Amino acid sequence: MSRPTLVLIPGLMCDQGIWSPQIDALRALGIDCRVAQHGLADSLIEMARAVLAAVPGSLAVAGHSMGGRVALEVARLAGPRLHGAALLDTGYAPLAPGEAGERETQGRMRLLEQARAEGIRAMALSWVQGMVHPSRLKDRALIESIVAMFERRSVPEFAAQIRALLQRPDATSVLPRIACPTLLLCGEQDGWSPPAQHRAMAQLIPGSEFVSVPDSGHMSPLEQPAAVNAALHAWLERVDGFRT
Amino acid sequence: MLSRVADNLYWMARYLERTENLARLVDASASLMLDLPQRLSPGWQPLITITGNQQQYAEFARGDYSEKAVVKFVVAEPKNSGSMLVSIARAREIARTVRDILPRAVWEQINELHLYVGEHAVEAAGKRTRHGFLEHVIECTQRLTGMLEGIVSEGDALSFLTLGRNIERADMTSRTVDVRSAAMMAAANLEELRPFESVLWMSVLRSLSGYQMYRLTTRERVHGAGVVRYLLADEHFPRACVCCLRRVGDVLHRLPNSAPLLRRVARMRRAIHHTQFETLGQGELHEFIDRLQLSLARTNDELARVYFVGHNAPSATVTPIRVA
Repeated sequence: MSRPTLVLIPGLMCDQGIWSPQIDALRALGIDCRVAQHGLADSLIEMARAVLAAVPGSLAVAGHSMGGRVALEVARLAGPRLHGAALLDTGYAPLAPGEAGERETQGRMRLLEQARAEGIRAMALSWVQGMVHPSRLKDRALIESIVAMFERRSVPEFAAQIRALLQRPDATSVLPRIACPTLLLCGEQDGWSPPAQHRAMAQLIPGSEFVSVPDSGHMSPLEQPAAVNAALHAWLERVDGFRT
Repeated sequence: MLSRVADNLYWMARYLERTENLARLVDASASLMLDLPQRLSPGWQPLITITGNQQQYAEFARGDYSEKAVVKFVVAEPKNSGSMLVSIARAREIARTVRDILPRAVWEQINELHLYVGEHAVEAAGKRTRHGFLEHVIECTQRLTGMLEGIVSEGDALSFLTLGRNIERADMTSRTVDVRSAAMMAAANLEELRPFESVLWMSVLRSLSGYQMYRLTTRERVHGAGVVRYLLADEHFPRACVCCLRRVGDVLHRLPNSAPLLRRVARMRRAIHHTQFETLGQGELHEFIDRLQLSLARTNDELARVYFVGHNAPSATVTPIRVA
């Protein structure tokens, strides 16, 4: 059978930069891929529709953070066209009701305000603090590559994507219906989308596999590229059309 | 005009308008406290609600709703992204980046106001010097608004300044109406409060400098439904929502690609016109204002989409990465 198209889906304010170590590894394996770009889309479903519209036939998706939530919306819409899903450092629950949700909203809005007033770079420098493993804050090359990636996006894109996140649908009901090989992966020190959340998803998705990446925060594809590449390789081995 | 410059002018006007509105709000709240008997006083908490900072404040002040704590947070707190100090600092920061297209006097006035607020904000949290401080801030921002109207040539720059000012104004007026009417209706001792109803609504009008114009236009005594109608639906009072929206519409008519925005603005104006404020319950009024605020936020976002990222606004795409 023909190989499904592999689509890498970046998260909030990210682009192919978040996947660069993986793209290199895929290239070495001779595997083509595509990277989704969300632009000014302001709902996860709109982002998922853009992915499906760009790809003819079957596909496999790997999504990081908000991109993982987009991957779940792809799963909701794609049915049998979806041959594999990898969900990295992500979540499935809608905005929490009450105080916790309020707090998330305010936190995101504060970052948006800061991006508007002081520029994306200033916002990114404070945002990145909780994003990676604390020991990695001293890795200037890594931090600079993350900040530079955010700087390639615009404030209106940030606003649109934050809106998409705050209005995210509940994906709980999607999980048990995912029938393709699925990888759940999470940095052990990811404080934003913690390992427990991925274990819960793994329990709800039949036949899925959970990989915990030691010594990594939320940005696992960049923080621990070798471990993430190995997990993605093992996952692709389970996906029809990629098996070697 | 560069979309980045348009974006900057729009936000500079919003932050300046916010600075002025915060000064009015604090000043009017203080005089309301003096006018109402202490047992009926709404306290200072509504100030936090109107400025939409409940969560941040709860974490910050741990339930201290004393006059001093609230006023300091709203006026002088650098960590409060919505404080007067932060608003004027941001207006100045933006003004610096666009000062080559603004009259020199505007830049100097903003700079001066920024210095003044920075110097006096903390002491103004106390009662003694507060009124004079707030009055000075209002005067300075009004002088700025006058300068922008009086010495900036008509054209794109003035258009985006006008859009920013009027969107911010409509937003603040609707919030003020919402919170003050909720406080009125939620009062446990409503019967006791009744005789003071007009005092409270007078303070709402004063906070928006609308008391005299209300009396001249409506020739009515001050009462709740009348004030709500005036502040939301009056076509001619510059701080009334409909008047702000009309001005937004007038600017949009002259800008390209504005048809969807104009439709949204017209929908908001229609909705306000067709609402019978006299028969609206508090819950319904709150829902109505909620929808209005949502629509204002959407207008803000659509402006960004159409004008601030240029017409090559990025859309969702999927880029192929080929091995060979």
